[in-house]
Amino acid sequence: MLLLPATVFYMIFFIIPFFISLGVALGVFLPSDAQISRGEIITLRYFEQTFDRIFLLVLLRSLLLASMTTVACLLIAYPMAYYIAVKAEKYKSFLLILVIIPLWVTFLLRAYALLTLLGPEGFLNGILIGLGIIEEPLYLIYNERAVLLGMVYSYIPLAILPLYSTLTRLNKSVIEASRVLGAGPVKTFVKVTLPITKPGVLAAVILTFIPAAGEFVVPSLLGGPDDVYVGTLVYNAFLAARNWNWGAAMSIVYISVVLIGVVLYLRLVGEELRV
Amino acid sequence: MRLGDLFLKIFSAAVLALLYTPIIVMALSSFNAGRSLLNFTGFSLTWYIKALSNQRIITALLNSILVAGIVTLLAILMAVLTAFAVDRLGRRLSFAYNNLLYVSIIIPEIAEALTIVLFFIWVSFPLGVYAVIIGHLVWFPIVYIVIRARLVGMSKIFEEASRVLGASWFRTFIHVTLPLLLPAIISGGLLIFTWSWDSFLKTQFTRSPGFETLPVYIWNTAAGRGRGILPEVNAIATISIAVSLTLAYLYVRLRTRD
Repeated sequence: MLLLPATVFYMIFFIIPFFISLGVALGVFLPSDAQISRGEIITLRYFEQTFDRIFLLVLLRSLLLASMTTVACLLIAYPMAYYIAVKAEKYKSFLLILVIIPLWVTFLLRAYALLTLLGPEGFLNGILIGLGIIEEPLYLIYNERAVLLGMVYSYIPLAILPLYSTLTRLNKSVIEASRVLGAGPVKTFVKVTLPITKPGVLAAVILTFIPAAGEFVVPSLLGGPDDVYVGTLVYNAFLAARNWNWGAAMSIVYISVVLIGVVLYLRLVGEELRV
Repeated sequence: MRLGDLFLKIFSAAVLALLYTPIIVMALSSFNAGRSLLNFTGFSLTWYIKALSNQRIITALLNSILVAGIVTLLAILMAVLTAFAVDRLGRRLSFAYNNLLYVSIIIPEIAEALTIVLFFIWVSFPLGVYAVIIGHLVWFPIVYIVIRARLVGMSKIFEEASRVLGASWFRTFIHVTLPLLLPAIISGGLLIFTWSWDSFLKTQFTRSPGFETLPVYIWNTAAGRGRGILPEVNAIATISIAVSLTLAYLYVRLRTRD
């Protein structure tokens, strides 16, 4: 009985809307005027519209951006998580708190803060001009590099946390054993540490990749007009073009692609995800 | 080995510096009397006074507080009820139920925002403050997880003692169970408050044209290429970040004491 109110709420406002969206994408619900005039009750038109060359290109670009973000985050987050979990000792919890705190500040404000630092009127340009190193402000943002930088900046803490939690459970005697038995630090890392911490790496990949593939805020604030990603398309289809059916179809395709990708990835590495 | 450790240390310090520099720079420029940090003309609260005398910003600020406050209270209520009720389900069923609830936390916000707004349009539910609150409330599982973890780890011994000594179920709940759960309720509440406070996409999709929260206001005035940086927005963004950081600090304090 106690379970009922929250469950019903969750069903109505979270689970059912997904089916409604599927219905909207198929034109069953909220058909567009053009569709009504053609007398179609159900149509694959919106999915066809979705699978055009431009969308596929944008989807590919989003997956690429998400992959680059994930790889860069892992490369940065792993050594840092390793340092905090294994080496930092008495500063361990303090450093962990410093990593967690930025997560409490929304992506919008962190990306905006990056804008105040790197923008044409920003702090960095100000210093460089003040020192007489450059005369005209550098265009550090409104391009793809800035988007990638902003993404990595935003997602690093998300990658550090799961890595930290597996690394902190790492049994140091296993590493010592490997060293004593004659393996060098590199070999120990590749053969011992990395395999043991695989679940953490997996969790970090999933935690960064899924949201990064649909990211809207960071590319919109830091990218140029051509830096269009799936998130941008969905946002514009709904809020600018008011083409709900198309927006729904795109978001269903995007979610499916990402989920299939994640499932394939988990199969490939042969691990079960434990959160 | 020593060299490796030193490298790790410097590397970690550099990453942390990278994480904090933009936020610190923005906060500093909001206290600058000049228009931008290019010419630091001295410490001043000009932009804060300007921001806080802007009716639109005040309204957005109050809306943010209102929405996050209501969402927090309702989410706690739902989470507590659910956390107790799940106990009665079997192991397998409660496992499945938990997984179902986790979906709303994992799914990207843009997909969630689009689905719920299409639902509202389909049932002709008016967009606006109620739609925004309902949209945020779908995140109640974040509170549920924290409370549930505490409940599972909690010894039943105090509740049983209270019952044996003759207290009713209700008295036991109010005087024994609830105080024991309080740390989890507060930390779960802090989490959902921040999620709601920070939500941009869901709010942007489900709001009515006249209704703005702080993130929506910042987006509407500052986003977009070439619009540049507005010092008032720096000030209000700094206030918003200060709120998030205070809540984060309280949360961490609470969790480490636990």
